[in-house]
Amino acid sequence: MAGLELLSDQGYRVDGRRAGELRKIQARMGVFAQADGSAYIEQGNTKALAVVYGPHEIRGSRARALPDRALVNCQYSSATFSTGERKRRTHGDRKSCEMGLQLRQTFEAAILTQLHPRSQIDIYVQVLQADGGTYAACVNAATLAVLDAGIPMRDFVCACSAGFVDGTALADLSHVEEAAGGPQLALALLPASGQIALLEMDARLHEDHLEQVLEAAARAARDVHTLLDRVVRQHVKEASILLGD
Amino acid sequence: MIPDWKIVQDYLEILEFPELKGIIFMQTACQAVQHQRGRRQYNKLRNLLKDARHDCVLFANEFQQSCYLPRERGESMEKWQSRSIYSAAVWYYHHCQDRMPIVMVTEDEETIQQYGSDTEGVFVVSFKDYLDNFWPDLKAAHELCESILQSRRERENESQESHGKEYAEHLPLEVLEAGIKSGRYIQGILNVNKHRAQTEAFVRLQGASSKDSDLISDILIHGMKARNRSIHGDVVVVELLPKNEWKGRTTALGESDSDDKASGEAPSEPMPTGRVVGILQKNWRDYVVTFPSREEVQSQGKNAQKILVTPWDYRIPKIRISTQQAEALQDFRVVVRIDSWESTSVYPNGHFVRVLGRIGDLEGEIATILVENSISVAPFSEAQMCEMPVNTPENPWKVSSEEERERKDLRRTHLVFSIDPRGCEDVDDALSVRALDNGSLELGVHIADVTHFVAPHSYIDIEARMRATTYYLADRRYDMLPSILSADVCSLLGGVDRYAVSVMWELDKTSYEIKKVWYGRTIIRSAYKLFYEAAQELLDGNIHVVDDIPEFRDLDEKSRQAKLDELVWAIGKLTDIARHVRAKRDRCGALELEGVEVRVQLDEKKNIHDLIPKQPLEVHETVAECMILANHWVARKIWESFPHQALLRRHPPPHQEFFSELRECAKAKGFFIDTRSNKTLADSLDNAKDPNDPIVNKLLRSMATQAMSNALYFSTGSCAEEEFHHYGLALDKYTHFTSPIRRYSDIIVHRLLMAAISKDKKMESKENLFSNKDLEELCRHINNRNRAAQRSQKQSTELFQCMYFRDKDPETEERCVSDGVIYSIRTNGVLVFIPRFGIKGAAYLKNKDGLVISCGPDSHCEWKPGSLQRFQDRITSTTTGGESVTFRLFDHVTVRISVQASRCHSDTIRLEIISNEPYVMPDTELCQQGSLLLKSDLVKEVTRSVEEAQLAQEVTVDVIEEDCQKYCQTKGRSLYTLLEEIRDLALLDVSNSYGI
Repeated sequence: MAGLELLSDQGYRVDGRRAGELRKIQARMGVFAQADGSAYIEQGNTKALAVVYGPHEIRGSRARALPDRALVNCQYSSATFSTGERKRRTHGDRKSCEMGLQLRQTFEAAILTQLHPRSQIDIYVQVLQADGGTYAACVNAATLAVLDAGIPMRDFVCACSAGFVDGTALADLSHVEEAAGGPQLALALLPASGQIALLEMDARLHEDHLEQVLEAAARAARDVHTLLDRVVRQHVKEASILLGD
Repeated sequence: MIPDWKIVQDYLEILEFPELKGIIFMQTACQAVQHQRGRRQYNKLRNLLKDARHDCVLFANEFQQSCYLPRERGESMEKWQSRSIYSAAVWYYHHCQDRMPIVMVTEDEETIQQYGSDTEGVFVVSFKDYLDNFWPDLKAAHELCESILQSRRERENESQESHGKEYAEHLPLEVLEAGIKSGRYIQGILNVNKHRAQTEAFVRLQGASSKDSDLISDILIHGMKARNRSIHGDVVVVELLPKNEWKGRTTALGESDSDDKASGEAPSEPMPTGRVVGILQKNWRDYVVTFPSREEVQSQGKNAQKILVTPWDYRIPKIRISTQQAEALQDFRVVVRIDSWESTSVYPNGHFVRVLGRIGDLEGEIATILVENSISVAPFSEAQMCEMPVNTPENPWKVSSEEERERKDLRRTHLVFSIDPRGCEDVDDALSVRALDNGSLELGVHIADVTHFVAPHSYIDIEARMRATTYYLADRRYDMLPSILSADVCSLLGGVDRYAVSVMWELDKTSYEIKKVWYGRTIIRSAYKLFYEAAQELLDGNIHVVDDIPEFRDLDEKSRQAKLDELVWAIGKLTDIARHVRAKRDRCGALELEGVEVRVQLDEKKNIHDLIPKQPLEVHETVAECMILANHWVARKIWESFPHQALLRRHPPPHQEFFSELRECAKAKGFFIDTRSNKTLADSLDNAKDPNDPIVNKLLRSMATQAMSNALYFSTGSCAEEEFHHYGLALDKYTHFTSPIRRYSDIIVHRLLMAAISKDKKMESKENLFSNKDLEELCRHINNRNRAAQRSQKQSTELFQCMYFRDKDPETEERCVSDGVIYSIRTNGVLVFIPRFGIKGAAYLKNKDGLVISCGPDSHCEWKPGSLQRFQDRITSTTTGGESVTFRLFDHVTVRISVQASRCHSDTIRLEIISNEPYVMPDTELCQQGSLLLKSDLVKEVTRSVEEAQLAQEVTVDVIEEDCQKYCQTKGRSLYTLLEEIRDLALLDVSNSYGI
C-alpha cells in the first residue's frame, strides 16, 4: 500500500476536514456533584474528564505550601481502554508525569494563584479515549472544570494542536495524522490577550514554516474559545434557571 | 461518466485518452487505487485529475453527507465500494436536476444487474458497452481495451500454472531500506550497456549511498539473472558479490552474438560486480517494438497468441504480449507498455497500445524516435488556442493603453534592431546602444515578453511546461509555443510595436565598465531586422548590402545615408563592447569549444534555402556575448532577490579522470593537454594544432567536449553557492533568459525577474513563485527534456545518414569510400571518424570468423587468419604468414561505408577498412576535402547541396520509396551529415542555445 495521503490534492484530510477545520467539540460542565468543579469534553473521538478540588488547605507535608500563592497540583491519567492497544498502567508512567507537569505549567499561568496564598488547587484529568490532541482536550476540559469550581482565572485557557504537511498547516490533528510522524505543535493560548501559556513542539520543523503553523494553531485555539464560551454561558443559564425562578 | 473502482484500476490508460472528457472520479474509487495499486498508478491518476485538458474532477463522496453510506455488517469491501459509487452517481444526477444523464461504468456483472434499471437517467453499463455505444469511432481505445483484457486473462491463467522460478524474488521494501542505511546494499540507477544488452549493465551510484570511498566507479551487473528483472533506467538496490566473483568489462567492439568469443579475450581489470536484490522505482515507459517476421513466428510455434516482440531500444529486453493482430502488424512499428514481470517468467508481460507507422518509412521512424524519447507533440488544442491573442489583418494586435502606461516606452528614444539568421521567424532578442547626455553609453538587450501572454498555470503554460523546449529534428521542428506567439505576437519583428523585457546597462564611455543596470518591461519597435551577413558587411564598411535590407529600400538618398550612419555606428559600438566583455571573460578562462556552427535557412515555403556557416562572422560573437551578459546579470538579480528559489544554470567542472583519454590521444600526437583548469585547457587546446592535419585539433576539441559534464538547470535553494559556477563560460552565476520562445526555463526566469522587480518596488507580487522543492522538480524535468531533445536530434540525424547510404551499393558507389581518422583503439577494432560525412563509427580488425585484417603491398586490405595485439596508442594485426600491419591513433585510413539494415532497431552505419593509406580522392573532390576552412569554397559546396536538400525535403512529403531514387542520385555532401558534424564539435551548452 502506498503511503497514506494526509492532505489530498483537493485539500481534504483523511477524515474529510479542510486544513484549518476543527473536529466537533461537545462539552458539559458540572458532571460530578461531589467535586468543586468538573467538566467533560469530546473533541471528535478524543474524550476527557476533568475534576477540580480546591482551593483548600495543603494536604500532606505543610512544607510545600507557598507563602504568596496557591499550589497547583495536576494529575493526568488515561484509561486502560483509551488507546488502540490496552495499556497496563493508567498513571505514574513517564508520559503521564510529563503531561501533568505541562498542565501544571499551563494553569499556573492562567489561575490567579496569588489570591489564595498557602492553599492548594487540585486538577485531575482523565482521558477516556485518545484519538490525537490529548493535551489540548485535557487543557480545555480542565479550563471548564476550573471555571465550574469558581476559581478566578485571567482568562480561558484554550489549547489546540497543529501539524505541517506538504507546505500546509493542519489544525487539530487526529491520531492518524499524529502517527504519520510529522512535526506536531501544541499550543495553549489565553485568547483575550493573545498570550501563550504553553508551547510545545515535537519533531523538526523548518524555521520558515513555524510562523505559519503557529498561526494555524492560534486560530484554532480562538475557535475553541468561542465554543467553550458558548458552553459556559449555556451552563450558567441552566444553573440560574434551576436556582432562581 | 463515472467509472467504478475496478475500471479505474485496470483501464486507467484508456481513461487517459484525450478524447474522453468529463469523467467524475469518486473518492472511493481513488482510494481503492491508492491502496491496491500503489503509488505509481495513483500518481498517474492524480496527474490526470490535475491536467486541465481532461476536464476530470474528483468528487469526495465519502465526505458528502447525502452520499456517505456506512458499510453494512457482512458486506464485502467491493460491494460497499460499488454501492457507494452508485449512490453518489444517483445523488449527482438529482443534483443536476435530472437533466444530465450519467453513465456509471463497471466490470461487475452483479452490479449491472442490481442497479441497471434502478434509477432512470443513471445508466450502469460495462466498459466494453460504454466504448461501443459512446465512442464507436475511437478505434485506438477499443484496441487498447482488447489488449488489456487479454493480458489480464493471460495473467490470471499464468498465476494458476506454477512454473519453476526464473529469477530470485525481490526483497521487501523495508529490508531494502534498512540494508541501504546499514551499507549492506547500494542504491543506484541501472544503466544497460547498449552494445552488450544481454550481459552487461552498470549501476550508477546515487548520492548518499556512495560513502565508501573505494566504490567510486560504477557497479557491474553481469547477466540477466543478476539483473533480476530490472529494466534500463530503474532505480535498483544492489548487493555486491564477493571479490573473487568480480568481473571486468569488455573493451572489445562486440556484437551480442559473439558472446563466447568476448569471454575468450582477456577482459580488463575486474571491477565491483553485484546483483540486483530489489527495485525501488520502476521506470517503465512506452516502448517501440517490432513484431517478429512471419518465419520467426512459425518457429516460435505452439502458442501463437503470445508473441515475443523486440524493442527498438537495444537495452530493453524482449517483451511478451498477447494479441491476435500479430499478422497485421508485421511491418509496423508499434508501441507497447510493460504490465508486469513475474519471477516465473523469462520475459516481461506487456500489452499493445498503438501503431506508429511502417518500418523504414520516414514518418514512422521519426515517430519512433519521438516515442522513444517520450516526446509528445500533439497539435495545440482549442482550449489552448483560445487563450492566444488575435492578430489577423482584419483585427490586428495592438498595444493596449494600459500596458503603455505601465511600461517604459522605448519606441521613440532608442534605436533597436535585431540580428538573426536569415529568414528567422522567432526573433526573441533585439539590441540597442546609444550615447547618453552625460557622456556614458547605454547598452540594451530586449527580450520578447512571452510571460505577458502566457499566464502561469494557464492551459498554454501547462503545455509549454510539459514540452519544456522546442524540439529540432534534422528536418523539422516541434514548437514549444503556438506559432501565433512564437512567430508573430511575441517575435520582435521589424517595424512593429512589441512588448519586451529589457536589461539596460550604463557603461563608461571608454573603459566600458558597467556603472548602472536597469531591468524592466518595455515597449519597443525594432527598426531593423538584420541578418548576420548583412550586419557583418555593415561592420566591415561594405555599404552595398544596403540593397538587401528591406527597411532601407524605399527611402530617399539623404535620409537613407543618415540612418545608415546611425546603424553602422551602433553595430560598431556594440562589437567594441562585446570584444571588451569577451576579453574580460577570457581572462577568467572561458572555453571556446564550439567549432563551426551551421544554421539551416528556410525560405518562404519552408524549404531549405541556404546554409550559413557561422564561425567567420564576428557579429555572431557580438550578439552571443550580449546575450551572455544579459543572462549573467539577470542571474545575479534573481539570485539576490530570491536566494532560495531562483532558477540558474550551472556547468560543473569535469572529472579529471574523464580527460585521461584525451590526454593519451594528444600525447600520441606529441601534444600536452593541461586539464587542471578551464583556462589551461582552453590554452592548450589552442596550441594543439597539427599544421598538416586540421582534423586533429577538431577531434581533440570534440573529445574534450565529451569529457565534460552537461550544463544543468537547478534551483538555488538546493545547491551550495560554490557550485553555481559555470565552467564553460567562466561565470559565477548564469541562467537562461534570452530565448523564452524556445525554452521554458527562460519563461520561469522572466517571471522571477518580474517578481524581483515588483519586490524592489515594495509591491505585492502577484505571481506565486515556485518553492524550492517544486522548482527543483521542474528543473529536473527541463533537464530531462533537454536531453531528450538532444538525443532525438542526434537519432534523427543518424536516421537521415542511414537513409542516405541505404540504397547505395557499397562495392560500386564511389561516395561510399572515404577517408577516415582513427581516434580510439579497442581490442578487436578501432573507432573511426569520417570528416567528410561527420560519421563516427567502429571498424573491426577481426571479423566474425576470427580472421584478421592484413595489408598487401598495394596497401589494400584482406582478411586472413592471424591475431591482434593491442597497445596503448596502436594496434597491430599479425597474420599467420608473418605479415603485420599497425594502426595508430590519428592515422588516416580508407573506409567503405555501408548500412547494416536491421528490422527491429534503427539501421546502423557500418565501416570497413579497405586500405591503410589515406584515401586519395579524384581531383575535384580533393579541393573539397581541404575546403572545410575556406569560406568561399564552403559556400560553393553549400549551394550545391541545396538542390539535394530540397529534394530531401520532398522526400519527407511524398511517398518515400519513389523519391529515394532521386534523393540518392544527388551529388555532394549531405546536409544532414554536415549538421551532425557541426553538432559534434559544438559545446553542448552553446549548441543548446544556438541563435543567442
